[in-house]
Amino acid sequence: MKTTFRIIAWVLSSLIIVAMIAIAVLVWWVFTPEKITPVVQKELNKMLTCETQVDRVELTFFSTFPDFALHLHGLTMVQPMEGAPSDTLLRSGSTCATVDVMEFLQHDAVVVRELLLEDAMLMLFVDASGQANYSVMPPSEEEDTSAFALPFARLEIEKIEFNKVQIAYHDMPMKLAVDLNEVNARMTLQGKNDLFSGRLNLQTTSMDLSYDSICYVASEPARISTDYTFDFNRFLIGLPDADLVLNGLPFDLSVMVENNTKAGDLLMDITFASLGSLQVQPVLDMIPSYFQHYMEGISLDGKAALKGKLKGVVNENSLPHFSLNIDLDNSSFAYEGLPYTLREMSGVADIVLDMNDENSWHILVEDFDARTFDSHIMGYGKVDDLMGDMRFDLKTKGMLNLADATPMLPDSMQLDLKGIARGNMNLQFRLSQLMNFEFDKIKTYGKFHVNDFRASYDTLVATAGSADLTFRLPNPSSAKTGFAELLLQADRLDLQQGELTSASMLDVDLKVTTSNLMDSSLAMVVGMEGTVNELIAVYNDERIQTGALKLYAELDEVKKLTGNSMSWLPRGSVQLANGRLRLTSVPDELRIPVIAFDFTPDELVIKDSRLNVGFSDFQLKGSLSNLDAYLNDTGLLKGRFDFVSSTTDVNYLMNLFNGLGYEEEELAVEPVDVSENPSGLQLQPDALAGMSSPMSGPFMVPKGVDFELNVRVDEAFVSTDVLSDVRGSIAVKDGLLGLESVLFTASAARMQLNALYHSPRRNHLFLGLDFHLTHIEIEELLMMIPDIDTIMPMLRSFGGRGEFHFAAETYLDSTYRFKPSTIRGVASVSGEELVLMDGETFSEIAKILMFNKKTVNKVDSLAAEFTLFKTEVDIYPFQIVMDKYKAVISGKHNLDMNFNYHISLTDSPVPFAVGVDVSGNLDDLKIRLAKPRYARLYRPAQRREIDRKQLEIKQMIRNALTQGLVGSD
Amino acid sequence: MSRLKFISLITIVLSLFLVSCEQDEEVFDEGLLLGKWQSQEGGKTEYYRYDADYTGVMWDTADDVSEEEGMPFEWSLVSDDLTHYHIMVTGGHKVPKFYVVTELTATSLSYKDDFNTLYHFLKVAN
Repeated sequence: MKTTFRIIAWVLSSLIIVAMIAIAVLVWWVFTPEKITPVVQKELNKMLTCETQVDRVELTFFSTFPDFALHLHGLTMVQPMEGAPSDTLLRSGSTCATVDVMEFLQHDAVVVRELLLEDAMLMLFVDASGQANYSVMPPSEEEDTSAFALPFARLEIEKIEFNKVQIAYHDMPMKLAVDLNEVNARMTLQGKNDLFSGRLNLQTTSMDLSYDSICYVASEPARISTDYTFDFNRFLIGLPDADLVLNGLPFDLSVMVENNTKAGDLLMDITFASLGSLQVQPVLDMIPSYFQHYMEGISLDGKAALKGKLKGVVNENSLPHFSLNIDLDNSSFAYEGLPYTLREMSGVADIVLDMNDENSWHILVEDFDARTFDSHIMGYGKVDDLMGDMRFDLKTKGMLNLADATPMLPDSMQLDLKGIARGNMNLQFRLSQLMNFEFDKIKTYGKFHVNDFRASYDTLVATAGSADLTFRLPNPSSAKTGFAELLLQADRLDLQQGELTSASMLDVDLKVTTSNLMDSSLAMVVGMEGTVNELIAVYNDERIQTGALKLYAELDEVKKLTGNSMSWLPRGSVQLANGRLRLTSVPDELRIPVIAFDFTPDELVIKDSRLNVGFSDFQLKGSLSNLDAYLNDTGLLKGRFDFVSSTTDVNYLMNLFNGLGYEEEELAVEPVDVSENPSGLQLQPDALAGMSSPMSGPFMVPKGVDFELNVRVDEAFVSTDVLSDVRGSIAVKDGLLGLESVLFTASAARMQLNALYHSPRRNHLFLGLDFHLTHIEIEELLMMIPDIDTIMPMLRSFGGRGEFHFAAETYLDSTYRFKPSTIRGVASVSGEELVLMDGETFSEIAKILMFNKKTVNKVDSLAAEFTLFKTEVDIYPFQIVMDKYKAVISGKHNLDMNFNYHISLTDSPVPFAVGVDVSGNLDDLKIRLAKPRYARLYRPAQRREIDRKQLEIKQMIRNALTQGLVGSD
Repeated sequence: MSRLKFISLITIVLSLFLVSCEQDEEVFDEGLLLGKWQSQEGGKTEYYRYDADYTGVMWDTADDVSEEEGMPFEWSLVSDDLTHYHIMVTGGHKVPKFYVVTELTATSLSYKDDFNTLYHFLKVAN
């Protein structure tokens, strides 16, 4: 056996040696490069339609043992085509193919053990007509409509290796261009019929990919490891699970691309996903230059995980959909022009691009979370119109440090905000609107709870420890103030302006609406509506405190101001309760139990009010109007009020309004000579206390106003008197004070008073009175108005109830002394069943007039008229009737109490006329028998015109004085 | 003499007496009154101005009243009866003052009232 084996071994060895020698002879001597190169060149020219050049062809065996290998050195294939980047289809330094000849001979299979391509350039080009430069096989004479099939049973390439190969594929119909530089690749290929598959490992130092002339990948290094399939008939390429490293960034890649040449469609289904989170900056670097301008001004850094999909049909009419999911983590974002940098930013964004419809491109943002300055923002939203003016629809919530809002405000708005706001905000805007601060076009709704709020604008500072703030842009509830709506609810809101002005409000519920605040060329409109449970406001030493306050107001800005017109025109209404007003000009606190008023730019209508000041309490209803004209010095401030009071201190109120509307020089105190007072008349000193103050001088009737008060006062303090049941009209008109038909009760007498007081200057004050007292005790009259005793001293002699009418006027100096030369007056006194009180004087006169001793000092009737001129009092003849006697009395006296009376007995039991003159003064009374001036049964004198006139005047005085007397019997 | 005759005689005698006692009224030219007159009483601070339309003003500078602030009046001069109607603002009342002129020249004016109080003025301006 051993021998047999030895023989067989020797035989086989010999055969192998012989075969090897034969092969060596063939390779080295028969198939030398010099011999086979022309042959190969010739065959290539036959086989291929393109121009082919090979420098050297080499057949190897031992170096590729056990397979034969064919090395082609300097292979060049040229296929010029119009539009192609190069005429050269292939240029290779070295091409080597190792083929298993036995497989081909035995199994009809082409098994290429190795296919090497080195230092090569492969330029694949398809022109617009679909002609490819790699179609180098001569066309068959008959059109081959059969499906593609290998001409042998099997094709297997165990290894294809590219070393330093430049590959380019430009497909005009597909508008696709791919350029790979310095490709080093290794792949396998198995093919059966029309289906090929294998594995590819490829690396290139630079990859360019363009579609439709847009460069999507530019000179990026790339590496891919993947299995692949290729259906030749469907031209379907599949990379089901590729590992791609692009620009150093690793991705999972899945590609399914089918070129449906019949339909002219290119079907794509490409998905990719980054392996974990990638650094954002290299990703941004890969953004095609065509899209780079979208990134202008944007700084984005951090990490992001990417997932994307490109799916759809590419043909003349259709493009695929592209979607990209970005999962940001711990990133930062800044935009040039935006004053904010977002940091610690995380979130998920889906970028959806339907290449067929740019208008539908949008970005969906989910779970966005970022911080900027000291604020923390979360939210989600949508951004669309990406190719135009991007539109944002964001829903956010978070914690805002209000100081961070300052950069968003226009520079011209010197508003400083502080505080922490927590809440949510919805925003709808376009990028240009945000960049241009077009807040009138931005839609916003926000609701925040604010702590430690502080806002300062110029010298105005607002603070709130805690507040709920809701705002909306635009404001849908009003066209006029449609820009914004702000709702503020706070337990306490404090306002401070400078060091002098402050206000505190409790339980604030306020709604503010505005027109466009951002366009300074437009007149602003501001609406306010709300309630405050308590308000305390202080200005310097002035102070107001209120209970519940309800406000509705609209303020219209006036752009073109004229004169002193208001720059803001207010309209609205105010209701408040339990108000307390402390003014330096008012010695006491003004209490306002309730007040409700409406206001317009020209009018204030007090619908109801209750006011208390000092001892006064009153209800005021009515209107204050003509404000605009008043402010422009073209008209008077008009007031028409119903003044109802239980107690009114008139002195106090007059002091409040003393001197209103006067210039300082008009109120300057003038030196007054008080040494002389010829009239002896002066308003009661106590009255001065009510109508003036030592500092202010006399009462100066307010100027610039036209007020009418319909007065109803139960009890009024005037001077030292107490008037009851006061009814009538009081008017103040530009320096004039008038009382019209004012009825009142004083000292149990019902009186009517018309009066006029005006103050042209401090030392020249006019006082006119038209005074009517009916059914008054003469004694009370004299007590009430002591000056009556000076004018009509004879009244002192009468007792009983009478009727008194008096009209007088005079100018006063600044101490209220009468100016004698200006005194004018008329008076009428009448009475019945009076009693003569002065017994001694009566007795003496009665004795001269020869009255019966039994005559009682009772006057049946009295009707006298007086005139007052300067210091002179003229008593017109009047008749008194006593018992059986009638006497006519006339005369004159001076206010210095020197008098000169005459009494004529005109009817008596005495059979002749008797008269008496009474002259002198009260201390030195002269009573003398005189010739009667008035005849028995006195009638108007015939002798002189003056007598007739006197009688006419008497009647005139009485008529004039009693005319229009309210309530006269 | 019957009682009736006696009464008639007495009446006739008294009538004649009374008529004869009446002084003749002096007639003054009211044109001389026009102008500004200064009182010669006291401090001579009182003024009257008579205007041609039978109105006028009076004022007393001692009371710090100027001519512009003067008190208005209406006047009439019939024979020697000079009447002032001082016009009140209040109610439009008029306060009459009756005088009898005793002298009226281009420069001097004197009148007296019922109680023979004499007032004397000098003209200071026409």
